Amino acid sequence: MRQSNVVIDYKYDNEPDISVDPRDGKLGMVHIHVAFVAFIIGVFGGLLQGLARGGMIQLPTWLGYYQILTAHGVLLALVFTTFIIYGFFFAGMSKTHGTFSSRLRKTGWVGFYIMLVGTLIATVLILLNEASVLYTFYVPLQGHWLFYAALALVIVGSWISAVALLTHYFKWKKANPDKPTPLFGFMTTATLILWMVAGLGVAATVLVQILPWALGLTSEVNVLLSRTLFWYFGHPLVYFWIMPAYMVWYLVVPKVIGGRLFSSSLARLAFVLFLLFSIPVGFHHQLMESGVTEFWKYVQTILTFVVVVPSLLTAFSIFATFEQTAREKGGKGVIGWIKTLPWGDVRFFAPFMGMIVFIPAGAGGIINASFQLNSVVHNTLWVVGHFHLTVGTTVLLTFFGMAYWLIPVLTGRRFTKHANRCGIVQTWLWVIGMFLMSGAMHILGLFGAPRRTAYATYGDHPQALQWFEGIFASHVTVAIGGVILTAAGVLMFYNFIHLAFLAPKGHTEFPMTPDPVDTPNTPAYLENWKLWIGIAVVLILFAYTIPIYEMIVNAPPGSPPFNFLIK
Amino acid sequence: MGKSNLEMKTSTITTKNKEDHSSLKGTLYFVLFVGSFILVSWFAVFFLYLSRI
Repeated sequence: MRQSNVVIDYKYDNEPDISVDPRDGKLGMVHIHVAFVAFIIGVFGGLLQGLARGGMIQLPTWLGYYQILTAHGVLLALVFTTFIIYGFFFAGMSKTHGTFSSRLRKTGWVGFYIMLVGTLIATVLILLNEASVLYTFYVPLQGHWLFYAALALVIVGSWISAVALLTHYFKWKKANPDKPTPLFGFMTTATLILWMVAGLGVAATVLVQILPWALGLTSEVNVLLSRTLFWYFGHPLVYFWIMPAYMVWYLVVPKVIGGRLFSSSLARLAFVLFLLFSIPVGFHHQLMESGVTEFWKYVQTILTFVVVVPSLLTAFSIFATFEQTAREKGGKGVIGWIKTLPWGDVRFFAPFMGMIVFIPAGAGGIINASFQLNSVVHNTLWVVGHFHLTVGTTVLLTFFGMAYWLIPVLTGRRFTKHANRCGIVQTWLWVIGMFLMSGAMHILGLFGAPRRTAYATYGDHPQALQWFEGIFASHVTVAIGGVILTAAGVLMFYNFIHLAFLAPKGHTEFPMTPDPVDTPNTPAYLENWKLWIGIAVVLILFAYTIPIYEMIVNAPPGSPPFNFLIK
Repeated sequence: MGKSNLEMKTSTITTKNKEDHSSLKGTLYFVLFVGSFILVSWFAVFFLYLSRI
C-alpha cells in the first residue's frame, strides 16, 4: 500500500521534538556568530566595490579596490559559508545522532578556535592591504606569508572539526549496525569526506609551494601547478557550499511544508555522486590555460557533465516532494497545487527562491564548462554574475532561510512573526538586487567586460564606454543592484541580531523531515564509504596523475613574486 | 449485486483520488522546463561563439 507523503497523523508526529543539547548548541552558535560578523563586513566591501567599479564613487587613497575585493570574497565566500555550515552540522548532528561526547565536543571547540584564529589573522592582513591577492590567491600575486599560514589554519581547523563530526557519525553507526543512518548524518559525512579529500590540494600548494615562496625560501613558483592544485580544491569547494544547502532542501523544507522527503535512496545516491564526481573536474576552470593537453581537459569536462546529474536528481526529488505533499493537502491541477505551499513562511520561501535561481545558475555552469562557450565567457563579468547566482543567491538564500529557525533553536528563543516578515522582505530585496546585479554582469560579460578589474574606461575606448551607458547591461545597473543587496544584507544582519539576542525566550522547532517511506529499503551499499572513497580516489588519480606529473617534469619557467601589482 | 457495483464504484473513485495524489505531472513539466532552459541558454551562447569565430 502506498504511504502518504503528508506527515499529519503519522506516528512521527508523536515523537518528541528532540532539541539540540545546549552544550552542542553553544558550539554551533559560536560558528554562526562568526559567520554573520564576517557577512556584514563582506557586504559593505561589496557595496564599495560596486560603486567604485561603476564610477559612482572614488575610493579614498588608503583603501584599495583589490583590497576590498579580497575582503568581500574571503569573508563571504570562504568565511561566512564555512562557519555557518559547521554551525549547521554541529547542531544537526546533535539533534539526529544524539549529544556529542565531551571529548568530541572539545575537539569541535579546538577546531573552531583554530579556524577563528586563522580567520582573524587573514582578515587583519587583508585590511592592512598586506594580502590583496583576491579570494583565489592565485600565484604569482604574492601576499604576506602570514596570510597563507592563516588560510592553512582555517583548513586545518575545519579538518579537526570534521574529525569530531565524522567520529560522532561512525560511533552512531557502530551502535546501530542494523539501521540505515539518519539522512542528516549520511549527508554530513559525504560533504565532510569531500571537503577533506579536496582540501589536500589547497594544503599542498599552500604548504609546499606558496609558503616557502612567500617566506623567501624559494625564489620562483610553478604557477601552472599551483593553479591546478587550487582548482582541484576550488571546484569541490563549490559543492562544499551547495551540499549543505541541498541538505536544507532535502531534510528541512519537506518538514516545513508539512510533508516528507520523496525518497531516501535517491537523496543518498545524489550525495554519493557528488562525492565521486565533484573533485576530478578542476580543469574546467582552466580550459583557456596552456600547459594542460586537450585530452585531459576533455576527460575532466566529461566528468563535469556527470556531476550535473545529481543536481538534476535533486531538482526532481525536491519538486516531487512539493507536488506530492501539496496534492495530498488538496492541491489540484497540473501546477495549481503550488498555491497550497506555505508562501508566507520564510523557512520555505527563502530556500525556494534559492532553488528557482539555481535554474539559470546551473545553466550558466554548464555553459562555463563547455570548451568553446568558455572561450566566450572566460575571465569576463559573466563568471562573476554566475557565482553570485550559485553561491551568492542559491546557497546564501538557503542559509538565510535556515538561520531563521536555527538561531532561535540554538539560543532558546522563538522564531517571531516579526522575524518572518523581515525575512520575506529580505528575500525579495536579495532576489531583486541580484537580478539587477548578476543579470547585468552576465550580459556585460557576453559583451566582453573583464572581471577582476577596478574602474577603467580603457582610454575611453568606445566599447568600454558602452559598458557604462546601457540601460540594463551597465556597470551602473550592477552598482544599483549592489545597493539593493546591501540593504538586504543589513536587514539580514538585523534579523540575526534580533533572533540571537532580542527575540523572546521560548521553543522553536528544528524542522527535520520524517524518514522517507523507502527508508527501510535503502540499499546498504549506499553507505559503504570505503567503496565510495576508493572509487573517488581512483577517479582523482585517473584525472590528475599524468597531467600533474607532466607539470612537474616539464615544468614551465618559475615565476618571481609580484607583490605590488595591485596594491 | 447492486451493492457489489457500488463497492466497485467507490473503489474506482478511491483509486482515482489516490492516483491524483501521487501524480507527478507538475514535476514532469517542471523538469522539462529546466531541461529546455538549459538547452536554450546553451545554444544561445554557442551561436554567439559561432558568430565570433
